[in-house]
Amino acid sequence: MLKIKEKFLIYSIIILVIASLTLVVFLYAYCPPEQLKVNFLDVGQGDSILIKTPYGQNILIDGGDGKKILQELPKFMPFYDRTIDLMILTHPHDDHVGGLVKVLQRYKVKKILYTGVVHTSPMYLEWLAAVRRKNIPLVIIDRPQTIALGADLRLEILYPLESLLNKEVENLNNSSIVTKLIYKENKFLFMGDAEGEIENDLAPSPFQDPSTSASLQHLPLVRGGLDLSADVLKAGHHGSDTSNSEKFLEAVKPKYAIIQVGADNDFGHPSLRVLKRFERVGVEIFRNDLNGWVQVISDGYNIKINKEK
Amino acid sequence: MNLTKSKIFLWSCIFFIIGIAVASFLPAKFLCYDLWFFGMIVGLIVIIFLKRRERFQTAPYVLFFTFFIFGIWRYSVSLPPNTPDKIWHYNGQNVEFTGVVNREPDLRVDKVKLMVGARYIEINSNLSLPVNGNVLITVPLYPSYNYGDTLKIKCELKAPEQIDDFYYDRYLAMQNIYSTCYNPQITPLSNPPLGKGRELYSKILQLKSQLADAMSAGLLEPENSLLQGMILNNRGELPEELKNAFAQAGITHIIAISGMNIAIICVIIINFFIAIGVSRRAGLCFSALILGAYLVLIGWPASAVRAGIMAFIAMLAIFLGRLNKLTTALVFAGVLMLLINPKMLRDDVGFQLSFLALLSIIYVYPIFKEFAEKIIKSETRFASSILKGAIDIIILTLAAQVLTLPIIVLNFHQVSLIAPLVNVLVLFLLPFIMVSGLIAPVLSLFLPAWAWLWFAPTYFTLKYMVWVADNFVKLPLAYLEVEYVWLGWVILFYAVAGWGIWWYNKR
Repeated sequence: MLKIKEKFLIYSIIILVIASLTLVVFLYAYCPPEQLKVNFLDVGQGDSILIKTPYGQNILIDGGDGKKILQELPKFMPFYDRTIDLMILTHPHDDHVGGLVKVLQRYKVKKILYTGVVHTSPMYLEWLAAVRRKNIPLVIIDRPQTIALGADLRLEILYPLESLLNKEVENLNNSSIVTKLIYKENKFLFMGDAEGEIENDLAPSPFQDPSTSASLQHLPLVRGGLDLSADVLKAGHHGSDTSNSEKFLEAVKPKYAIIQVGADNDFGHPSLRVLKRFERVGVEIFRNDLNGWVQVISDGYNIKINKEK
Repeated sequence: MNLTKSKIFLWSCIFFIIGIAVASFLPAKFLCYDLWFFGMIVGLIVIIFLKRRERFQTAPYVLFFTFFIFGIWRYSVSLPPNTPDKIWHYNGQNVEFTGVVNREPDLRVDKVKLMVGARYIEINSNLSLPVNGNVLITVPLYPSYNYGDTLKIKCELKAPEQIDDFYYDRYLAMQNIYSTCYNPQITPLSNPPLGKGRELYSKILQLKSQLADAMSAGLLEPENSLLQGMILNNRGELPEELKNAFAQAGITHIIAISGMNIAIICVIIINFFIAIGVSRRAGLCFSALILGAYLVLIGWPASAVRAGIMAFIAMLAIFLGRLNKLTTALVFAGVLMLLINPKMLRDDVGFQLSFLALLSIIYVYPIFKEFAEKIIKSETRFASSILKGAIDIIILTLAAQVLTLPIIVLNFHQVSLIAPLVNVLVLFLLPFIMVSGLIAPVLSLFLPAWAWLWFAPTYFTLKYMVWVADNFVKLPLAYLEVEYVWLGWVILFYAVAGWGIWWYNKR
């Protein structure tokens, strides 16, 4: 004959076990609604975007300077998920590559996209060395192309137009990989640090009618043929004046713009003129220095934006 | 005047410490006569020796005075001579010198600080002089350098300076560093073979960094840097916000390898030995051995060795149960540490805090405990053992705060009012974190793919700790900011506290 106390103990253990089993089954069977989450991480002065696709892929575009990335990532990835399916280095400046060095140390990275442009900063060389050490496939982007991430989700690489492998570029910002993420009807444009020249290369030019310019017919991506329209724009070069030209904004017609910028940075980013320009075009602006991290959630048709503060 | 031998010994030690204290506040011009102080000590010893048969009453006082002068002399010989064979002689100049990284690199989030022992300095293109002395150089994260690397360094040497109210110059002087340089040009040279001892040390550091890698593979930030701070003494990468939150919550002592962390490891080990049937005395010896091995594993940084000695005394205190008898042991340990580095007394806040915390535990804790027991007896509801344990932690943290409070206010400008509560909420987890945090990296060496699983228990415990600190400091009146404190109040505080303890013990 068991005492009441012991009976109580046994029953509570049984209830606990059943409860946790139910929880496990529920979690296993539970399918979250298909959502695309684009997280603009607050890494101080620098870019870092973590894309979580509805199909479970993690895509990391740049990593900031490395001071904060390792604290930001866990806010958007569960503790058992240590895999980055695709890492994109837009260009090798320290405020983009620094964090990727740290990510390579801690996370399992499956594939990397990069232009191969030449740079000699110690941080970039360390990144290259780490990629080689870990034997991670490194794909050189030498032309515009499309990566299918799912039936209705694709990542278009718009720039560079030609191979920059082993080339020395005067302004590394203009070697940035420019990507457009398209999920059903929602579109995201990630400009990296690309400056005005690139924007003009991409944006349709009012002075050139593509139909009359026969020489450009076979290069539909250059000057005009490109659809830049997007709901969400990652503003080029931390909202600097050298990027985000009026003409370009008219071509993109974003509803929201995210400026990845650190508070009190040495460069005076973002430029007041650019902020005014966005306002004129009627774009809602989110900034990492004011809003902390910014999370854009899309179900393919509607966009919802969460922010840290 | 009849002083027992142990009293004479204790007071000699205390006068030595007073001598060092006086010397560390004297201007340097009084201290350059170290030979004169030495002569005085010799003279005093001769007097004591000659008069030893006369049983004169004042002999102990002469002895105390000798130790006082000895303290001053010890401090004065620790000051840096300014001669051309010392690297700091060239402060303010652009120089090119060769040196060896002689301490584990101090990794920060965005930079590395290397301590380099200078070997040769180039005066001009065809003349180089042998020099010695340490230089603290600040370099970017990459390329990375290791302990034992020989480097050719070109930079402008700078004498460290006070930063706001932080005596950075004195802080570095305590580590025997009188020159710094920032972002120098570095050319790595081929490494000459290290000596046997250095070879071994470098192997130990490699092992330590393997452990650190295993932890960072298994945990996320900030839990990883928190665990590394607690177990491996790697504190450089702790985020500033977390450090602040822990300071305001009054649990900084668990980040730093403090006497407390180490004492916990020892208590676990002792209990383990007792549980398998080893005697108390042998358990104490074993745990001292394991404590030593642990300090070796983390590369015996000075702060951890100090904490280890203090922890050992604390263990003695707990296991022998005769708290008052330990004063002599504590003071003697302090003397030994100050003999090695007399600058710690004024400039090492960690030394001051652990010394005073132990004094508090020896003298204030019994007072609080007696008081608390009176209350517990009158109220039967407090009789349950969990509550008793909680109350014990509260009065222990309160007691440890009493004598350390002025030092905390002076140096950190904030007082945590919520500390007792937060300590109760997190302290009981420390043994679990220390043990699971040491087992998980070993397991993940064998099955690295499942690292996150081995670390999951540690991870959630640490996460809870961070959550408690982050959220409890948001409560109103969780901590007070103290901009400035007049030194007189500090002295008055210690005078009153000292009198109170004396009065209580006399009663």
